[in-house]
Amino acid sequence: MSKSEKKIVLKSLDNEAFEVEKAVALQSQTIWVMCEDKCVGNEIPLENVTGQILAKVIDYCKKHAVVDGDGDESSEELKNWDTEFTKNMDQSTLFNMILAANYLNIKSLLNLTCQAVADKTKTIDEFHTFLNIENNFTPEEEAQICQENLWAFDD
Amino acid sequence: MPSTYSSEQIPIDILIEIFLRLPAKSILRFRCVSKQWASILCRPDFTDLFLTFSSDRPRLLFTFQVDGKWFFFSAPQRQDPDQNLSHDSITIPKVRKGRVRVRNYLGYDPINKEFKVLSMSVIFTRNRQHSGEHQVLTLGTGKLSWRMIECSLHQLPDCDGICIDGVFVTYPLTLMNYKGELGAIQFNMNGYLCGRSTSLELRVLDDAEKHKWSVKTYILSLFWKDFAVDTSRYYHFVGMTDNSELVFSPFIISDPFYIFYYNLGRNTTVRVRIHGIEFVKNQYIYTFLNHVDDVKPILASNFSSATDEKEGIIVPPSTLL
Repeated sequence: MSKSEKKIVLKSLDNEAFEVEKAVALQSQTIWVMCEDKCVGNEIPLENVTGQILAKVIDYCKKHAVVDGDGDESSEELKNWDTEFTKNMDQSTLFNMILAANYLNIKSLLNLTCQAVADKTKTIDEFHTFLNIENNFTPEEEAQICQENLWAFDD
Repeated sequence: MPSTYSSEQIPIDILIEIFLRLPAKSILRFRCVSKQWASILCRPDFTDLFLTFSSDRPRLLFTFQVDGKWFFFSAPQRQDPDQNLSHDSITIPKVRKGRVRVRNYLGYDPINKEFKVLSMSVIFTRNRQHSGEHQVLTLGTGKLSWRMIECSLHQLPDCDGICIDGVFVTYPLTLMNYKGELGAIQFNMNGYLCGRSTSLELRVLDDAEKHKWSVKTYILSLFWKDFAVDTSRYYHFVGMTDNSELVFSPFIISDPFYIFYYNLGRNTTVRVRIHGIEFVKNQYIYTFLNHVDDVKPILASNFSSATDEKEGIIVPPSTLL
């Protein structure tokens, strides 16, 4: 394999191009299938992901490509890195990361970002703002369903 | 993709993926959010998935009694140096009992997918106690009531029963699920682990029909070495983790409260401090392994008959395996 074949170019929705090692990009099952099928050249257009999000996804893939090669002795370090990675993301970024991880089919990143959202969504208020939904219970219905789940509100 | 999101853009299967990772308590709260979410989060396909997901992350369950109420706390079952607890409780109807004492066992029937409480009355004759009537309560089936059953078992289990592949077994030693086979543990002192215990014996039932057990003795000289613990305390055996670690928990709540993981292969012990129950002192505490959160709806209206009962036992909506 020549040197150029080891690299691959990922192009975001807003036409930002990222040149990455093939091993990094192939953590995405979607990209892996595209490469297997030889349906793309060296440049892969990703029409669902913005450059801002794609840059973060690539950061994640780079980190995991390196560590996976080292064996599992650094798994603790990797876990800490993952925690730091999602810690300061706002909700909008996290949701976009989930959508990107889903589209690119990167299981571990999907797991990580879903868990991060779950960790930040514990109260009813957080749930309302997160999913932007309205309470459509009548007061009687709400009283009954809250009664049925009473212990959940007992801190 | 726009830079801001709205919930309509998130496919429902991804939202489900997120909800599977929430604590059971949050799921119950979110059922009160809207009609659509109440129906999604109560559907059997979601609750089954939640149970499967939760089974991959078993928890420790602690229970104790304060002022006539049972408290249930759970914590992740892993070896963090410190663990924080979450808690919940439900009241079930009082047992119809003609005699003074009853003993209750909570179990899960994997065939009918139901939680059941077995209540055995205790009869004292001379210096022995044995069981009299057997009553069963099935949770989550409309109005809750105790049902009398005929049972040939009159020996009262000295220890907790154990469920392996859906078969409930009781035995006079401390039983365990040893890698899918029936195992039993015996200590050389008092039948419990304490500072004077020097060894423990692990028996595994190799051939059930021929009653053939293999026996292995573990010397516990190193067990206490690394910890400045009060060796006068008594510890009961809780169970074995998937990593071949025996788990021990004190009989009585103390502050600080520790549980111990003893690794059979390496003969090493790890101590884990449990936070969140400091408000209780000198009470009996019961610890269980492999507690799984389950969010199958068990309607509180089913339990309303318990409200005018002064007593009552409280069980968590959980699977004890």
